[in-house]
Amino acid sequence: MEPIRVLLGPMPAMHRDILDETFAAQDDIVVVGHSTTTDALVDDVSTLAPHVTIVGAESAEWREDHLALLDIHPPRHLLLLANDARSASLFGLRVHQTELTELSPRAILSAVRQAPRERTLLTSASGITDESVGSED
Amino acid sequence: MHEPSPPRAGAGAARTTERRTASSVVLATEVPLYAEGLALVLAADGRLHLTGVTPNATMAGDVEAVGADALLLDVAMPGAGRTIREIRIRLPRLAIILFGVPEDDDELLACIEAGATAFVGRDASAQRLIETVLAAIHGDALMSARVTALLLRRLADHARHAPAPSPPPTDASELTGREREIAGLLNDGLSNKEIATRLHISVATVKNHVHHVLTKLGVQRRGQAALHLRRAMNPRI
Repeated sequence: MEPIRVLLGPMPAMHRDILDETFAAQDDIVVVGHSTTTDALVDDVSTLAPHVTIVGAESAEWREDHLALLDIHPPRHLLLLANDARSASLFGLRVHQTELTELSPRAILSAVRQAPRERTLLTSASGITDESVGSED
Repeated sequence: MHEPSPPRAGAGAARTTERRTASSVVLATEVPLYAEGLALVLAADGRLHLTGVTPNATMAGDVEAVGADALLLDVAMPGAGRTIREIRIRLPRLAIILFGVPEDDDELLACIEAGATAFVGRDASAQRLIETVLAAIHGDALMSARVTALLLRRLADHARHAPAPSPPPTDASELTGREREIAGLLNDGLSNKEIATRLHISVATVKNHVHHVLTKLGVQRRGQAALHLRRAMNPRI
């Protein structure tokens, strides 16, 4: 089974070392890289294709610019670790299925017009909580 | 305070011999990432033996019971400064190393003034943290450039607010004849009025002479001038 690939992004050095040590003993998890700057992080997410990217931030709250990290590989996850080490949040994009009740040109137009609004609604919900993130299936 | 989790097999097992001679440290933090994560880091490194972890700053005093060489204290823990002061009284030689993120510079400086030995910020690596603890145990202080600058600024502030140093004491031989005469009467314990009567001069003139005597001798009170003169006459006093 392929190990879970973790990329450590910019964060306080002490937190990075703790995470390195935490993952070092896990057979099912491998740290695939360390990105020390935000610019390098975007490139590394693209090239290293981590399942989970862990990034230090002033708070563990969602910010719009984090979306760029998930857009590169939509199935991936982002774990925000607050720099005070007192909170963290896991973010991920979920596939959302809406079954059309009828297959008609009018219904298709409606669905197409609804799609970006759903995206807007999702991304505007900046206060994503543990409940909305949920546990992994 | 509880015993830290046993180190994982592998890196820790190979360092059993090292650990027997490692310096011991107690970790005080309420942040699980630090409590468990630093335990892993210390176990892997092997130069420090973690003898206990406490989530309560006031319990850090238990460090006395386990006889640790150092206390690694999360600077953001409530009551950190008070804990340091209390421990300093009981264990003046214990190395107390602060780590983490202080609320502000004043809080950090207050902890250092309370008796902390060193500080390691979150931007320092775990290796730096371990080396700072080891240095502190051996009486040295590894400080970042930022903390050093903070301490120098605080030192300069203290120096600015300290009373101006007194001019260096002057030898009694620099007194004029009249001043030496008045100094002698001061030494006899006479008041300004008594000196004025004795020398047939005004009290204001006596005050003027006394002022000059005190200034030249580098003292602030009449009693100090008298002592100075007695020492000049008999150096063994």
